[in-house]
Formats: sequence, C-alpha cells, structure tokens
Amino acid sequence: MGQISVEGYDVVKDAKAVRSSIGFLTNELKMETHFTPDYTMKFFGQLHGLDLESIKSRTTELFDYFGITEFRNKKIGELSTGMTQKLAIAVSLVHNPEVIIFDEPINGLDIITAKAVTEYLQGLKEKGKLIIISTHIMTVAEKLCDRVAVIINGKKVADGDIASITSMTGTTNLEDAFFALYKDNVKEVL
Amino acid sequence: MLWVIVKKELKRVFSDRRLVFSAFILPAVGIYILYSLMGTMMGEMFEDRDQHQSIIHVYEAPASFIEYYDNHKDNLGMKMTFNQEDFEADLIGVKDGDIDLVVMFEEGFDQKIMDYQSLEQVPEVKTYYNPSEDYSYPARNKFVMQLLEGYELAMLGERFGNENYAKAFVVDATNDESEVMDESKAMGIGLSMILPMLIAILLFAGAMGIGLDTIAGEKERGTMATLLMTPVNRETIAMGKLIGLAIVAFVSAACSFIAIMASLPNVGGMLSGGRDISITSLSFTVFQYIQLLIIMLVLVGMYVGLICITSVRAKSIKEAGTYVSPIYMIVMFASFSTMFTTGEPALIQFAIPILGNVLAIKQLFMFQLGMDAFLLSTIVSIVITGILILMITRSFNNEKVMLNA
Repeated sequence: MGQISVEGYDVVKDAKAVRSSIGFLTNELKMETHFTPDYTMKFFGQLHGLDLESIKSRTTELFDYFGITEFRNKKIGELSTGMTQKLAIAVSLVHNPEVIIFDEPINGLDIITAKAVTEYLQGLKEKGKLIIISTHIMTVAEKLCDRVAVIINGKKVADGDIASITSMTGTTNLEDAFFALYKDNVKEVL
Repeated sequence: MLWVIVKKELKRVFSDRRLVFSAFILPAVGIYILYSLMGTMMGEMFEDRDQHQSIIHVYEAPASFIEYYDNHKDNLGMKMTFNQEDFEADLIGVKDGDIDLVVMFEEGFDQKIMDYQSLEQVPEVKTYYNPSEDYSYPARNKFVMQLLEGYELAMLGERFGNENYAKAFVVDATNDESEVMDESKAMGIGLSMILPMLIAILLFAGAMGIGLDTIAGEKERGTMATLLMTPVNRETIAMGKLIGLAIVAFVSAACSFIAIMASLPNVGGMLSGGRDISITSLSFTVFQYIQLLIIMLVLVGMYVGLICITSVRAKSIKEAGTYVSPIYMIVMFASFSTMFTTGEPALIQFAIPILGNVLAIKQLFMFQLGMDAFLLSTIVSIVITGILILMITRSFNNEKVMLNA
C-alpha cells in the first residue's frame, strides 16, 4: 500500500485539507445554469472558507483577467461555451490553490481565450504553483510544462523533461515524440 | 457552511421563475380553482335536484291517493300523471331518463286498506326507478318519504276512524335541539375526511417535484461533482440539501394548504357534511396548531429522506423518478386509507410510518388526538428520518454512488 500526500496532507486521512489545496478543473466541471457568475464565485468561495471581502477581491481579479466582468450578473446559461469555460477556471481558482489540476483546460475555447488561459497558467507557474494538466495539444504542453508524462492506452510510456523525451525518441518536438512513442507502443494501428 | 448550502438550494428554486410557478403557484391556483369549481358544481347539482320537478307516472291510483296528492302537491315539486296505459313503454322511459318514477298501486287499494286483517293482506305500492339517472332516485325518495308517509298516516286514520290513532308516538316534534354537537368538532370531522389526505399527498408532491432534481439532477448535470470537490464535509452537503428541500417542500405544501383554506367557503356544505356550519366555527387551540406543525414537519422530514435516498442512488432524474413512484403509491394508499376509517384507531397504527402521521392529523382535526398517539407517530417519524439521513450521508461518502461511476 502506498501513500499519497498533497502539500503534506494525506489524501485519505486529510481529504478535506487536500481538497482545500487543490484547484481542480475537468471537462465535467458544470455549474448551475440559472446562477450568475458572481453568485457562483461567492458560493464556491464560501465553501472554501473564504470571507466575503476576499471572495470579492479574488472575483474581481479573476473576472478582470478572463474578461468575465461584463457578464458577471448574467445567468450562466446565457453565456457562450468559451465564457462558461473561463468561469469554470475562475471558480476552480477562487481559493488561490497551491496545486492546480486541470483536465483539457483549453478544450473548446477559441484561440484568443485559449491564449489567455495558457498565459494565466504560465503566470501561476511562475508564481511557484504546482500545475498538472492533461492535454492532447502538444504545443500547450511544450509551452507550459517542465515535466511531461506520455500516456498511451492508459499506460505511461515516457516521463521526463521535454528535452529528454525528444532526445529519447530522436525527434525535435513533443508532437513528433508522441507519434514515435505511439508507433512503438501501438504498432498495429500505425 | 451548512447554511451556505441551504441558501444555495433555496436560491436554486426561488430564483427560477418557472420553477416557482410550477412548484408553488400552479398547484395552489389549480387547487383553488378545482375545489371552488367542485364546490360550486356540487352546490348547483344539489340545487338542480331540489328544483327539478319529478315526472311520475302512476298506475291504478286510488281515489284517496289522488285526493291526498291534490291537497298537498303545491310543495312537493312533482308532476304526477294518472291513468297511464302503456306500462312497458313507461318503464323504457324510466330507463331512458325521460320519466323519473313509475308507481303501481295494487288494484282495489282503498278497499284492501279497509279490509285487511293480517300483514299478508296489506296492499302494496310498487315503484320503478332508475338509480343511474340523476333525478330518478331522489324522485322515489321524495315520493316515498314525503308523499306516501303522509298518505299512509291518512289512510290509517281512515281505517281507525281517527287519524290521531295512527300515531303511537312522535319523534322530536317539539325538540329543536335534537342535534347535540360541538360545531367546531362537527366541522373538524368534515375536514378530517379530506384534509389529512390532501396534506399528506401535497407535502410529498411538493418535495418530489424538486427533490429529484436536488441530487439526481445535479449528478446528471455534473454539478454535484463540482460541489464534492470543495473541502466541505459530505455530511454537511447532504444535510444542506435535505434542509433546503424540506423548506421548499414545506413552502410548497403551505401554498397548497392556503389555497385549500381559501377555497373552503366555496366548497360550502361539502366538508361540513351538509350541515349549515361556517368554517369560522372551527377553533383550534395554539397547542393543536403546534401539534399540527410538528406532525407536518416530521412528515416532511421523512418524505425528504425517502426522496433523497432514491435520488442519491439514481444516476439520473428519470431513474430517480422510477424509484420514487412506488413510494408515491404507498403515500397515496396510506393517505386515502384514512378517509375510510371509522372509530378511534389502535395506538399501534400510529407507529406505522406515513399512515400514523396521516391518522394523527385526522385525529387532530377531530379533536381526538391523544398525547400518546401524537408522541408515538412523531418519534417513529424522527427515528426513520434519522436512519434515512444516515443512509444518505453514507451514500454521499461513496464516490461510486456520487460520481455515477
């Protein structure tokens, strides 16, 4: 039996503390469509134990960055997919977590919004946050990640920094490296 | 943290105009219109029956009867035709509803009255009516009770030589206070026929409409997963949802209850058992109101628990709807069954969940709810609600259940 800890907290024994440390976003992250972005931020902020003043300033900061301010009092059901996705990111970051786990954070976003999200994550990384993302877009991984694990058919086939993976596969970029690894591991398909 | 979840649940319902309309306003308005319409229509039906002139065809009518009828016909509301010829055709008329009643006197009626020596020789009056027609049975009733009763007395007077000899005694001729009743209790009995059933069903319907969406809906839409990712205890989330739903169910039932009370004046004598008693005569004590509130609260608690446990185990609203249907049937059965019970229920019946609560409401309206029965039904409900809450919170801690894995 192994042990997993996040920020020093055991994921089984201190699940509550672990959840407080993590900002989690998946494709499944859905919000009540008849609530406003403002209320949604307030609600999740309160669940994370933040006081109203902190929620307010954090909301203003995130909404300004992602361009949600104009829509803060509209119902979520009335927002575009991109705006909803940006709100989902904002909600998952409302408590300013130290560890951020995002599944396909720019999936379905237009190119401008995708760039804004990528840059925001870049900024968080520079602030020292631990960010784990899963993505099918190799350029995003190249841009954001210090360490990459390639998973093919549920099995990790490579793990290291980008230079070591490209060197290992004899390629010059992560996309080519992925295809080389894919060819090695799923021969019958290619 | 609990209150944050409760507030969110309430906001989810009360900020949605369509939900407010369908969960609170529509049922209340529907009930008001339905009951008012029912009361008005029943009133009109009774009035129509009262005003209807009964069409009666009489065969072999003796002279004494025709004379008696002529003397009393003004207040009877009957149109009587004598000396008919086609009896079979008249029977078809009764079947078709064209004639309300056909009456056949025995031949030589007057003489037989005077001559009979034993009961076997007493002459007979035969009536032919159609119970499936609106006016036929009341016509027969009126004919027998109002006309024949007086006519019989008159004929007995003829036979005995003095009408007064035909009476051995009278009943309540001078007693204007024959009905010894507490008006409040009489009205309560009327209310106890229908209101406990309505309260029990409305409380469940109010909770069910929104309850299935509270958990199963959130699981289906994926918003539950978002909520579970926060550091809030699963027990707190479960309790927040339960309390929120209980408040919504109570408000929904209260709206329907107000609609029922508002429609009572229109329902008229239907609830007072046809007596001329005003709804204002109903006077409960403060303690009885508190008892009613407690019964309703524990019933809501149990309902919410039942709905939430089905909702939490289901993967979608549709699936939850399938699970909750048998429970709704049980609620309906328990509620309806109290409409047809008479006498004081055995104490053990109050220990049966739902049925015991509905019986407690019924006994309360009849001013007959004992403290032992009240406490028993309340405690049983609280214990069951506690068990349900335990099951729900355990389910909330089960990732497979909560994330539809």
